[in-house]
Amino acid sequence: MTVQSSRNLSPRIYACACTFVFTMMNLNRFELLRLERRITSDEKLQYSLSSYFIVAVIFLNQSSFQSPIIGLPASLVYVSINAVFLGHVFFGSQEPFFRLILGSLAFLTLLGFVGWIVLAIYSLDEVASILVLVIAATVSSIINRRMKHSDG
Amino acid sequence: MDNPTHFSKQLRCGEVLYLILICVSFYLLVISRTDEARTVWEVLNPAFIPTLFTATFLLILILLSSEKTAHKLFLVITISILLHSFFAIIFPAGDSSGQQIALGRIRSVYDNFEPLTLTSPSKPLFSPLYEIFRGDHFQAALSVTLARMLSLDILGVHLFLVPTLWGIFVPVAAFLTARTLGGNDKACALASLIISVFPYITYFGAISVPNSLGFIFFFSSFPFLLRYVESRDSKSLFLTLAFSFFSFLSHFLTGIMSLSLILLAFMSKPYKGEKPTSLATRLIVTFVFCASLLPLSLVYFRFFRANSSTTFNLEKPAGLPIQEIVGMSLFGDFANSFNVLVPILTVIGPTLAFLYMVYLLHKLCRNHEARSKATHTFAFLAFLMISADYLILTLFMDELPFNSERLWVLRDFIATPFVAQAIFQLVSQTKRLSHAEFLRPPSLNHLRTVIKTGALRSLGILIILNIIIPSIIGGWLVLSLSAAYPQVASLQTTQYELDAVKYIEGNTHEKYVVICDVWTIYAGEVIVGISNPSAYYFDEFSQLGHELFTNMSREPSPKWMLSAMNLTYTAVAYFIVSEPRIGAEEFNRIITSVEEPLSLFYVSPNEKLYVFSYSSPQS
Repeated sequence: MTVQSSRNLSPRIYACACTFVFTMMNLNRFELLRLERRITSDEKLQYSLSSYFIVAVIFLNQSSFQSPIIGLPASLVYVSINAVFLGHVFFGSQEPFFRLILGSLAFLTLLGFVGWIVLAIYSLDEVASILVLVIAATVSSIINRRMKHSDG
Repeated sequence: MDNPTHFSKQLRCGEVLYLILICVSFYLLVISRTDEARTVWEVLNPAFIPTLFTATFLLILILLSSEKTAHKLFLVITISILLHSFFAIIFPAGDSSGQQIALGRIRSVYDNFEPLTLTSPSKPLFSPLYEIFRGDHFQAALSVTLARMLSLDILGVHLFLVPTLWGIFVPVAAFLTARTLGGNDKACALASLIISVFPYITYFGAISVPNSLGFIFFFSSFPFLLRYVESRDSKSLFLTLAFSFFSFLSHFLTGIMSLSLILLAFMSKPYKGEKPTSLATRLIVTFVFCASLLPLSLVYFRFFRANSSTTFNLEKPAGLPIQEIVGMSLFGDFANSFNVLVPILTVIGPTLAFLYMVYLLHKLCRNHEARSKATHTFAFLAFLMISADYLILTLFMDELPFNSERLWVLRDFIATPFVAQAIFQLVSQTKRLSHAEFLRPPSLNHLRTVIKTGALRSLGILIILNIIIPSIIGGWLVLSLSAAYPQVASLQTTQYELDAVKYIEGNTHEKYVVICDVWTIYAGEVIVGISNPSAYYFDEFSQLGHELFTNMSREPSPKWMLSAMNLTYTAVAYFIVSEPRIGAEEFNRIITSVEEPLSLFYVSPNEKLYVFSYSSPQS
């Protein structure tokens, strides 16, 4: 059982979060909208596949490096892609900022729900956690594609 | 202010200054972090409160400006995360409360072990159903998945989970609720900040317990429920039901309250050609039915959870003096607070909201074409229903599984948009007054007087708008923190207790059991989990664990340790004593009376904590 000291976690977490937010703020509204449209169109499943690729990175990091420096940005990108998918589907009528925030909430909820089911059926060990990430990414990708097709 | 570029430059400067102040506030919180403290106020850097007040002051000016909504909300989110991170940043293992117990259970999922149960109490009929749906599992699934994703220890993820989620999603939910109630964008942005002036809301946003997650989902469902009431569209209903389901999965209190509100929304739908008297009767019946759902579910909770014995006690108020009944109804547990400001801060917001709701409804009743009439009426009914539930639980029920003040979190959330609208109304009225002053043609006869009084009045209005109102709201927010974070508490889990637990875990290769006081049990829970068969700490409510510790303190003998080892099938036993928990005299007596075969295993660097060990003769 490895126990990491939580002493230096808070500044690290907030530093990473601030970097992410400032990067997002530097992109202008038009660029963000274009990026969102590109993600939700998911041409040739490129963003769904990126999501799986990030899960692979998380798995590698978890099994070998166990470094938050890899884990934090990878998780942020993973959650952001899927949050955009779900935000577009469920909160399409809202402004982009709300779509992203509510999409993030929806995706974290989905993550918790899938984890809850896996925990009830089996247990939430390291492999099962990766399975949760794969299932959550697949579900949000399917929902996004179904929505795209129903939109025509 | 006429030049938009100049105004925009001023605004950007204000925003940058605000962000710098927030960063400084975070830094001040981080440097306030301590190894040993009772309350956050003991160790909080003296510069923190002035910095926070200045930041809030600036933020209110920004919120009342014509800045973009997304920017405003981003700024509110930063302060919201800050306001809810006190426990997580200052204390080494967060607040000693339910969150450590929750983490103790989550550890069993993270480290993948089956908790060792020493006694098997009789389980109620529907206990398996409760076990599946209890909030711990949902929180455990979320925390463990995030901890593995981020490659961080579960302790850090658990401590920051709710403050971060709350800081991000609750202001947004407050904004959307205010907007659905027809608020102006500035009033809605103000609502996203005003939510932090309610002390109980701030407290639940600072501790990582399943109930807090339930509150987040309840808050997220509420704007969609209001939208459903307004438009009766299927998408809003779906989102309401989805968020309500997750609020139920997180905690039954928020789940039942969500269900009550959904039923209230369903049954308050007016039908074509329905007479007003019939609608009013239906509303009253529905209201009574929905308000009774929570008290009844608590009574029948005994079929789902062991040791639950909530009952109605209609004679309870008869035995209480009238001032106590009034005190309990208005201030709850805070009625006996040492600080008179605390009870005032808990009622001022809801009272203001209630008065403004009555005023709005009175105004809307005259206007038959008002679109927001249905949503306002529904919000008012929801507010009343939650208040009625609080009174029923406080005055007529015994043996509740939680304190009834938790309902205040829900009530205060509904109150938030109304408080914000009331404040915004005040600001608008003042502005209107200022415009009226400029538009009025000055009389030539009394030009000098008019200029003088006009200038004075304009200056007065300018001061009210830019100094007094932001100061009052900023001061209110900062003051309410003193009610949100306890002023009096027992010593929190200390760093040296955590270090001792980690040392034992890192240097023991056999299965072991630890006999210690309840505070060290909390430290054990956050590091190795609860009832871990390889590293056993007794449950914090365990009578057996308490008796073993008392016996060891009275007579430090191997027989108690052997008894603990036999009970838990372990090979090594540890006995932990720490000076601040039991007092210097008792501590010195114990450490001098320990004799062979018990051996000294670990001493904390400050010599405030000793660990003695004993191995089974067979091993």
